[in-house]
Amino acid sequence: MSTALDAPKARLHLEARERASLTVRIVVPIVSILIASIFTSIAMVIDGHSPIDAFVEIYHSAFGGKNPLVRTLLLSTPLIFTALAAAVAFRMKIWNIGGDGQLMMGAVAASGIAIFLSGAPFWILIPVILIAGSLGGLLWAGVAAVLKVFFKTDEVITTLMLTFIASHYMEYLIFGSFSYWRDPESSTYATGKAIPEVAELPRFWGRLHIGFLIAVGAGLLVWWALKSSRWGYETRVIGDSPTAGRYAGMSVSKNIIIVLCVSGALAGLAGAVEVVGINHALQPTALQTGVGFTGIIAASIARMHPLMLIPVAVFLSGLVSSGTSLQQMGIPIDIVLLLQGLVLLFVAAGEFFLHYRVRYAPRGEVA
Amino acid sequence: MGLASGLSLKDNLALKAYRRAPISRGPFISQKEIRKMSARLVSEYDIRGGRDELPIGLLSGGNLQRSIIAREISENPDVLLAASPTRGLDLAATDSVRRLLADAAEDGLGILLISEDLDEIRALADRIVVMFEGEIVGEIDPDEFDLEIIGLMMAGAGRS
Amino acid sequence: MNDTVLILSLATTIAAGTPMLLAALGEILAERSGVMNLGIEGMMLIAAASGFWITSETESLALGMLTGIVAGTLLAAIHAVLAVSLRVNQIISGLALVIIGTGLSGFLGDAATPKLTGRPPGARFTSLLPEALTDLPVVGPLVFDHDIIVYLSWIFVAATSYFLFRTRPGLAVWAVGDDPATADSAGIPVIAFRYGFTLLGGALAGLAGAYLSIHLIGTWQDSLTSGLGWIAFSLVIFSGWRPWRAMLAAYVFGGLTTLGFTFQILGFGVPTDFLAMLPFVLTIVVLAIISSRPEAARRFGAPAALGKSFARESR
Repeated sequence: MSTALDAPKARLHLEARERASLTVRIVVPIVSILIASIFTSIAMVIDGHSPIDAFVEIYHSAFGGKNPLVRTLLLSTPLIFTALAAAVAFRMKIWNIGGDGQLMMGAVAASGIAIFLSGAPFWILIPVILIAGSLGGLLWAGVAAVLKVFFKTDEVITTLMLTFIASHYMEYLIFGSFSYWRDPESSTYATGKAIPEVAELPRFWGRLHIGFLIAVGAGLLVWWALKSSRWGYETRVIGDSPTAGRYAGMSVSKNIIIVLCVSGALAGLAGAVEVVGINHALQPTALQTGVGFTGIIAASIARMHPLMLIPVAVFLSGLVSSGTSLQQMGIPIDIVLLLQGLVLLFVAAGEFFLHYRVRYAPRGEVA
Repeated sequence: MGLASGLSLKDNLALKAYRRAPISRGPFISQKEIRKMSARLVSEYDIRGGRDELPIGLLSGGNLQRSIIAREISENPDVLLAASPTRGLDLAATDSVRRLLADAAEDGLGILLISEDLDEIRALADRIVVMFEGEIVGEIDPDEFDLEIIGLMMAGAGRS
Repeated sequence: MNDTVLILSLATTIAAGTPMLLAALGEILAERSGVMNLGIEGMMLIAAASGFWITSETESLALGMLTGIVAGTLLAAIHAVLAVSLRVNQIISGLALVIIGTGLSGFLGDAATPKLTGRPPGARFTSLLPEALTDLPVVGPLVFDHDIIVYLSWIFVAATSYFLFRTRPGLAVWAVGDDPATADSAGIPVIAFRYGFTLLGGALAGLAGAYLSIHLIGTWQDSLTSGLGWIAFSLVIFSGWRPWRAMLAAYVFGGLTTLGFTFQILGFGVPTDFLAMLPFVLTIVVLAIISSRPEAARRFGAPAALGKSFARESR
């Protein structure tokens, strides 16, 4: 007795949409952001703040002027990298949620090499550091790749576990031991050993360093590669149907490893850029901001599109960078987190309406 | 099914050809060449409904089958394996698929047709072989097509 | 002397491991029905903050705990709607939950006046059983000297285990988590089960969070749970989705730091950071060994449809 043959009992029922029109595809995310803002405003009102003032302040301190913009773009740099890392992997349905861990190991590798090569000139140091950072992230993701391909271990779990392992390892290097990375003179409050002063990313607009340009460049490179390379094509096919991929002679295992390595390299690069651009040492607290997870969110909102995620990342970073000025207004910085989470929630929920239409049918009538 | 239902028609058509020239150029693929090949196959095999970026899964069964046939035959294989090629298709689609297969066979392509549709077999086959439980139990000359005998063989009667 | 230190530390680890155990039990139930909820940390945080706040305001322990449970359930409801009805990717939905939970709880922590520090006196659980029992050597502190929540957690472990393995609805949950399409055609209400168990998972995580902030720690700070939710998540996998094993693992994982101090007292030292890593390393090792052997993987019990949305028309 198949229930599919019964007349719909519900008054509301779903109809699969062929493909949402452009209008719907634009309206839904905007409505989502609006709804998220409304809910956040409610929270603010309950706490006795004016949402209008808050949003105006957010705009000003995030985008209104050179200094705010510089701050926002600086913040967005690691986020663009981790969002790219997520997008690359998620497109092939490889759920790499360990971007943070790969970022941290990238930072460890980058700072390690930097300290090791003190005395080398700037034009050797910077590329080597960045490559080392990418390698660090790549290898860390590679562990998960090997586990998936050879031990069939689900990458959601392994990348997640590896993140916490990396986090504790980083803390060990600085707080838990007198390792190579630790500043030997910092006994009361442990800090990382400073990397050579010449190893600094050049700045081109106020405090904004070229790391931002590298991030945008990476976005362009990933977009182009996904579109025009054999690898990009194979990723697309395998992501949609591994069976079709195997039928075409593609090696799914090889692609899993490649995708995870690329993803890890991008996240590792984020770590390296932070070390060389901002922290100039291995600073665990600065690297434990969860930007890996935020990257997944940015990539989600941008539907895994490598170029679209750049403005999304800048937008999200703008929200965060306005946090301090919000605090000065008496609004807790967590409002920003809340808004971020709600935006993701409603955008994700809104996706549903891109695939299904909701129809109202009076009981008994078959629409 | 050999199709990636979320990808576009042209991406699916390129599934086997993507590794070779003219589509492949070193580590890159040429979107222009893919579009060219896709346009050619669409007109040659009368594939309807596929718009550039739409997922191929939205096409009707008949068009899907024609797409697969288009892709496979354009590879110039020695043998084509067709398993239940018209199952689930409407009359018009069934007809067009059978015609495509017949034409290809006439052009010299060897086709191994696996089907439970006896009308189809009668219409298309040059040689008919009946299997039962994994064994070949008999061979029939299409000119001596006898529904009853074939039916009995399919039920195992011809087994020694 | 050494014995007593060991016993006492073991007793403390039981209490310390209880939030982890409760949250893990909740997640076991949710995952058994096929829903993966990465947002445990968020649910625990929001419960910890709101529960603590209510207790500070009302000086009522019970109200605080209740608030925590409700908060956790409400957050889980968001995940349920997203993941089960709207078929959003469960990873993304879970992460959204963590972020919302962290944001909301931090917001509450900052916005609440008076500031959430220091619980009111009396708002703490006391040992449930009479002194005659708690004073017994060895067994006293280990078994009898716990508060009601700890005992509740033991009851939950037993109840969950019994439910999952020995009752018909329990077996139905297995079906829903393994093969929802078949379960659906057998008449099992897949959607209802998934909603129910996700919400239950939220309730348990809420209980855990409230217990943590009100009783165990006694004050509020950002990131109070400091990764406990994630450890609970690993626990679920490490224990093979089995309640009794989860209990053992919770005490081991939860007690790692305490045990670390104990080891130091007893003479052998292990860097605390490596101890902290241990739950995660162990989870990977166990999962890798099990996953690479098909027969063992099947018996290990991962719900086959974990994380995948269920849509009736895709039957």
